[in-house]
Amino acid sequence: MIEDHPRVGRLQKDAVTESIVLNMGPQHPSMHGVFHMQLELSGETILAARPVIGYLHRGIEKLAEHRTYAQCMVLVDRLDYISQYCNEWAYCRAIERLARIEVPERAEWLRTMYAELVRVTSHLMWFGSVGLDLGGWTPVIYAFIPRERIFDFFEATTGSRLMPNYLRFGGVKEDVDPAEMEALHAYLAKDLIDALDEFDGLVTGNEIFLSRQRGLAPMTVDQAHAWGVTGPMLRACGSTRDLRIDTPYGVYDRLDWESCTDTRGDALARYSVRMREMRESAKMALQCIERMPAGEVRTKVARVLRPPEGEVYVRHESTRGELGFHIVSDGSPKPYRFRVRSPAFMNVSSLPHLCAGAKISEFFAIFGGIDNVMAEIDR
Amino acid sequence: MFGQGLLKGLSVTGRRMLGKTECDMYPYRKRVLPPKSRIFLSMRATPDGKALCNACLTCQQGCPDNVIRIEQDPEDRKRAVSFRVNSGRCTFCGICEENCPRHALTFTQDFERATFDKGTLTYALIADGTATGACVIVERTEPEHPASAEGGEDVG
Repeated sequence: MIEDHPRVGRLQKDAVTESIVLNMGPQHPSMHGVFHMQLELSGETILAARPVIGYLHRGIEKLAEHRTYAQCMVLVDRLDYISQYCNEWAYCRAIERLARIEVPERAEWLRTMYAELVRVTSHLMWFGSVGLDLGGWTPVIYAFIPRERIFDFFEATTGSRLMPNYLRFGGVKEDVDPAEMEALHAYLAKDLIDALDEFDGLVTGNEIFLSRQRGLAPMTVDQAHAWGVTGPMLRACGSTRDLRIDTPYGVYDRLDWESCTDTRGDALARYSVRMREMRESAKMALQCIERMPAGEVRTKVARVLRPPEGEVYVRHESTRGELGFHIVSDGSPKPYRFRVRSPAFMNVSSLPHLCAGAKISEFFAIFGGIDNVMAEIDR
Repeated sequence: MFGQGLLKGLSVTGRRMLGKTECDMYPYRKRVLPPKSRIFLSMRATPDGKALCNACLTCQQGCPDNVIRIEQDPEDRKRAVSFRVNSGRCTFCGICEENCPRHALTFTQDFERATFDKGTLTYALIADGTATGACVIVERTEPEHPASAEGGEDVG
């Protein structure tokens, strides 16, 4: 034994390890975009962690003040580019409440369908990146197969795979071709569920994955509330908070579904909640296709909208949590103030607390469960 | 039993390995994009080189990124002398196409326009009053639909 050597043994006994600062990111391949984390380490143990953000700051909130309300939709797409329809919908709801615009029935169903489809694609992206974070290349390749198929539907119906600019004040841009809807229905009913079963077989039962996730970085509901954590991360701690149920919008109150929760609060619970949410979202999108009534999809709204003076705040259950839009109007065609409450920003603020005391290898397992998008955090 | 989940995962990858390929073999087989895909901005024009644009400037004023530059004919303000598109700035939002009252603007689906020279990203749809080769040739001269009924006004 090396410790038995008289010199080594003496050194180990008296050694005081000096902490070092390790800069993770912003170019680190596991950092989900340009996220920078300063880790203070003692050996491999994390003593403190400081997130450094702002590398992707584009000034979207300020840019929006110089654009008309319709032009801002293009910016809103680029906030959280993985759940575009949720952003557009939240922004539309804010403006519709401000300008008192009615939305036709069919448009509400279409919006709900797109929002749930994008929740599936967003969680698929997260599933793939969790695999990458833990050192597995296979999940990301597999996750992109159903994701691309749903993007094909987006492209055929809205004109763009990632940046649709599809929702409009008072409805959606145009109706969906029934043939496309039928093809999507067939895909969601069988192939997507098969793919999700395949992912469960690939990762969920994997003993190495389970041992790395179980009991890791536990969070209680009180802590989550204190840190402003929302969305699947909050529901993984046992909270039932889901804005789709608490403050119903769209047609969520008419669909047969349940909010996914878990009581364990650890990294595995966060994984489990998102995996189940994908199935629920696919179920909801299917119900939307089946029950969608015929009719108009768009109310006539002035091309250059001038909402009355006032302010509005709208909360929306985005794929990452509570997305808020605070819009102040002074009666002109451009917003006076445009403020975004980003769920990923709040969720990432819990990271220093979660990873204190963890090892470096565990850091990525914790970080993957947060599912952040830097474009939304930095804005 | 420990290892059961690992074996199940291996069986999934094994099935996939023997199954069909999911990739698009891109340079050899090109995807045909759906007609709604927004790739490059183009304009409808008749075979004799007359563009459908009547230089109303709705697209130029509605564009969030100042992509479109139109020069009106000083003698006939309903005729565009030049219509230039800076696709390097374009975000492909489709607001111009949607707002065009004559349905003159359209998007083409040819995606192979990568270039090493940023200057070539700016192209003309109308030059010297006539439609250029970047336009889409249509037979009709009148719009398919009546002018947009949204009753909008121009951006101030």
